[in-house]
Amino acid sequence: MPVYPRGLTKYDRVSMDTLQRVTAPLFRIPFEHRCYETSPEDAERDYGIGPELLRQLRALGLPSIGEGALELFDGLDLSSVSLHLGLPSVRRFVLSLWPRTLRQMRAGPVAYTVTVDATCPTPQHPGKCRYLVATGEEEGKLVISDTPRVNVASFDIDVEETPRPVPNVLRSLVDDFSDVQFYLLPLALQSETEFMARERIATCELFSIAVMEEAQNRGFEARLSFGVVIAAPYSQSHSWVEILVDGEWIKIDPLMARALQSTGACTADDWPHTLSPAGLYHRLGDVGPIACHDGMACDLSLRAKVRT
Amino acid sequence: MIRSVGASPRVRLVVLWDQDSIRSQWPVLASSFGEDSETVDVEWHKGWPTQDLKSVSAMLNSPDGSPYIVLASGAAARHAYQASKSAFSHASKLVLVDPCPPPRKAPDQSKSGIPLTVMGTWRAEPSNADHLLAWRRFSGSQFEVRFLPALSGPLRMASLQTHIADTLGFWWMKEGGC
Repeated sequence: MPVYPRGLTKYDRVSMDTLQRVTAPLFRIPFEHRCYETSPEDAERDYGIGPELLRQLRALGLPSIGEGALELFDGLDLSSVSLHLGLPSVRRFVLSLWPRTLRQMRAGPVAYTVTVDATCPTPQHPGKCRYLVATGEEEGKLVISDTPRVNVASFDIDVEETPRPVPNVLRSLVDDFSDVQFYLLPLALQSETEFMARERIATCELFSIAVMEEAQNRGFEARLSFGVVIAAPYSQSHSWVEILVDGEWIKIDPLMARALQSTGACTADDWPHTLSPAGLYHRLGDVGPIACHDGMACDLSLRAKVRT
Repeated sequence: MIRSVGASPRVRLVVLWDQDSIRSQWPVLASSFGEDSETVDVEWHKGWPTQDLKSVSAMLNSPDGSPYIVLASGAAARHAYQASKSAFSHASKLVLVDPCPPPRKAPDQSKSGIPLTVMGTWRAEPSNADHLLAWRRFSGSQFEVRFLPALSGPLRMASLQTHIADTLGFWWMKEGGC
């Protein structure tokens, strides 16, 4: 069992230098995009940010509205801070499972079953539910159901390609983007590549668009990809870029390599930014969502288990 | 849900039971989280009567900062919900199976703010259906109430297992997206 850097608990003190480093990118996000819905109580439970840390963040200028027990923060701000400090949160736990899959794949051939369940976003509508599900094929799959919650797909994935270094011809491209940090961003910024180029922070979707554009500028054939990052017991949806090299689509994702290192989920030796997460990422199409209903994205569950 | 102990973080799944018969069946349910001893720590606690719950709460809220998921059934489930504000203030998710008896007034989720799913198996008991209807009447959009098919024995447990894994899966996606 590998030993990773120890994460913080909400009772640990954090140096102001560390906090300044972690919060600085947040102040590059325009204030008008924030949504103030997270109470101090929520911050402690959901992001592991206790009262003392919250006081320090507030002193550094973390935006909030209201005062005392009625004070509210932006959940994306808190989630990003929590991730970069390695505090306990669901999101950090999800990320921590990815390197484990990487180890499974490096250890030898492995197969997974990912089960996709969806819920209807408008359960009171008349008639049956019609889900359009991405399957990796051109057309997708139509699933019609009487119930608002339904199993829409199962993928049996035999991992034939394992994560490996990107080809040399892509090294300078991934190096040039290796300084970008994963921060959760409001919807309004999710396709603002100029924002990313300027501020060097991004979500996976924004990052993918920016890298694809730059790859094309450099003469590569590149495409957006979305799909599933395989991890048991629950996988996650994700976006990344693929670039055609010698007839093969190469997956690249230096953003998440850095995020995983930053959160303490793995080391740079485990998952360097030059790693192509082949096999670990299962492509379902160019852009999401995995399942939609009347054009609206569905809430999903992506249960996964190793198939023996 | 993370334990910062210098190794891979682990899910902490706290199962509260109220009868020996439930205790003997619930290992099946607990395994629904992932069948995965490398990532899941399952803890068993008697959640009923009250004094047991208090001792569990004291242990769970000890200052190591580890959040957890609570999975509770029957009287322990109802009691866990009522006590969630104080007893399980650090829980990331509360899954109640057949909470009994039904609440007398609208449950105020804002009191605890913990994401909540109430899950009911009809079994053969009409009163159980009444309980679930009461929860649904109060639920609004604040929390999720699921009615499961009338089953008993191993089939009931299998149904519960699937639905609990599914419930946690939706929650996982919503809270853990990148």
